[in-house]
Amino acid sequence: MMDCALKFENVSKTFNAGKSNEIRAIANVSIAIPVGATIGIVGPNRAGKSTFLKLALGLLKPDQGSVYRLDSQAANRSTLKQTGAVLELPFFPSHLSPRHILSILGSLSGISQEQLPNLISTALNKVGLEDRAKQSVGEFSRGMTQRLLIAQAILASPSLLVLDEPFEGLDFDALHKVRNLLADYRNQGKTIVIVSHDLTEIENLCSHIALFNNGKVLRYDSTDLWRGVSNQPFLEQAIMRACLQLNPSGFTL
Amino acid sequence: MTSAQLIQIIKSLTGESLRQAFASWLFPLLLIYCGLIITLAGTIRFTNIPLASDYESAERAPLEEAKRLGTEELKKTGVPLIQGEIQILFGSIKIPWVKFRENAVNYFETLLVFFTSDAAGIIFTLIWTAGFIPEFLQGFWWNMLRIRPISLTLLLITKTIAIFLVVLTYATILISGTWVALGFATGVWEGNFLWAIPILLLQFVCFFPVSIFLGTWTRSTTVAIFGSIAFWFICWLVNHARMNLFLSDASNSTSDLSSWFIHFSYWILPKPIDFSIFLSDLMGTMKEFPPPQSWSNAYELGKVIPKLSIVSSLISSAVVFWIACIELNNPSKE
Repeated sequence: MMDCALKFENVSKTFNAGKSNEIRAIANVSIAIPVGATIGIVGPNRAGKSTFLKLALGLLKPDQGSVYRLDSQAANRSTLKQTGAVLELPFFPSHLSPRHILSILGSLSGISQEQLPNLISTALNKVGLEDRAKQSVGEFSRGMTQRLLIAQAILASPSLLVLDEPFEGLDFDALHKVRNLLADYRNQGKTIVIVSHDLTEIENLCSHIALFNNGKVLRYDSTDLWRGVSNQPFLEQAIMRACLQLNPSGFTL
Repeated sequence: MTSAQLIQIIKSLTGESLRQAFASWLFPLLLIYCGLIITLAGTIRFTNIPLASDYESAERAPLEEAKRLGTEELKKTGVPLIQGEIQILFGSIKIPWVKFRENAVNYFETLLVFFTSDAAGIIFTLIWTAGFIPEFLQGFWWNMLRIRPISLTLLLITKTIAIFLVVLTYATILISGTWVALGFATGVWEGNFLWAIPILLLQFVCFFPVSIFLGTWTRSTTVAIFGSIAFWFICWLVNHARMNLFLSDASNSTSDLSSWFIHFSYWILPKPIDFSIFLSDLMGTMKEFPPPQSWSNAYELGKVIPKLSIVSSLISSAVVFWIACIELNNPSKE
């Protein structure tokens, strides 16, 4: 029985080590994300949030420590079959259409030829791109590209979703669709890890919230503990308080 | 991974590579290039050039001998005197021709092969495809591919096979198009010309891994273009230098060390001139339109061994491809 969808054990990652522009993106992070949880990862720019996700996906290798994904070392690529991801700064090859992109990514994910057309239609339908399936993505707006990005993440119905700024650039309609889609995933007991600056979405969607700053986890608790007795939007104030306790000299979101 | 899944991946990446090829800034140039070659072949016209197959003997009367015999005497021999003309590009270029029509077709095949599957053909194909791997490995899209449950090596292999299939499609269209145009224009259908298709693909298989390696190492299309062309020239020079070693007066002018170095380099590198010679031989144009003396001399001496040459060229390309795979899996490329 799998306990953790993601587990970091004393993980560190430094870029440009030994150079003048050295950046310690992740510093001795240990965190366990249980199966079925919906985790919001918040923090200021350059807190290490995106690096955390890239380490989780095996796109980066840690300098120190171990990363486990679905009970296997993150370097084990077979667990990527049950993982869907949204990465930041999407830029798909402009000569391809959404259908081609999903066909390529679906094939690489091991989806069979028989299942693929239906799954592609379903995924495009869920994000509202069904009528743009054959259009070149070179003609897509930022919001449409983001929809496509989410469609490819959910294509194979993965048990773990790792999302970097999934709400970025979405219009009201798309935001509504994605919000419902993620709520469905959460209700199906799948694990979702979301990095976002949209604190309202994180408050409403997540069962747990982790606050990152300077490559470290400052606080990782259930959303109920973060909320306390508040009936109002709470996260921004709670983050301020958490940071000031640890860094009284000041902290700006 | 099952074979069905593998075929499915190759199929989808072939579609992706075809679209990448169409979207390339070089594609319009490629169309113009193909159009020019096919037009060149299709506008060839022969005047007063008979078919050898219409005569019992494929001999023709040399001009001097014909003059000596006179027209009446010549008719009695049954050997034709050919004083024809070839017109190219709607008559804008005229070439006097004294051989049979089949020879003229062979002549043009030798010429067209240079542009389709020999030196110019392979260089053009390398330039056109050089951006495929660097573009494939660019930031976001490459990360999207890397988070799939497939090894990076297998990903590169399938993408490479997809590019080979794209080049095979291109070679088939260009060369068979040229062949059809030449056939309709001249009435001579030389099937051996179609050997240019597998030879172009074979040459591409041998030279493209250098482009792959440079693409994975630098992620730069420019480096891949210039690097792969420079590599082709180096291989051509080594191949040519080795051919020259077999000329009778070469042994005096070449030291043992440099001779050894040339032979060694020849065996570890792909061999573009050998491919040219095989193609001439396969097309049957070797005797009529022989390559430079040093090349035909080496071939006649048995110093160019087709099977060994192809196998060693493929081994060297496999080694370069293997190095590219190592480079792709290099953690510092994150």
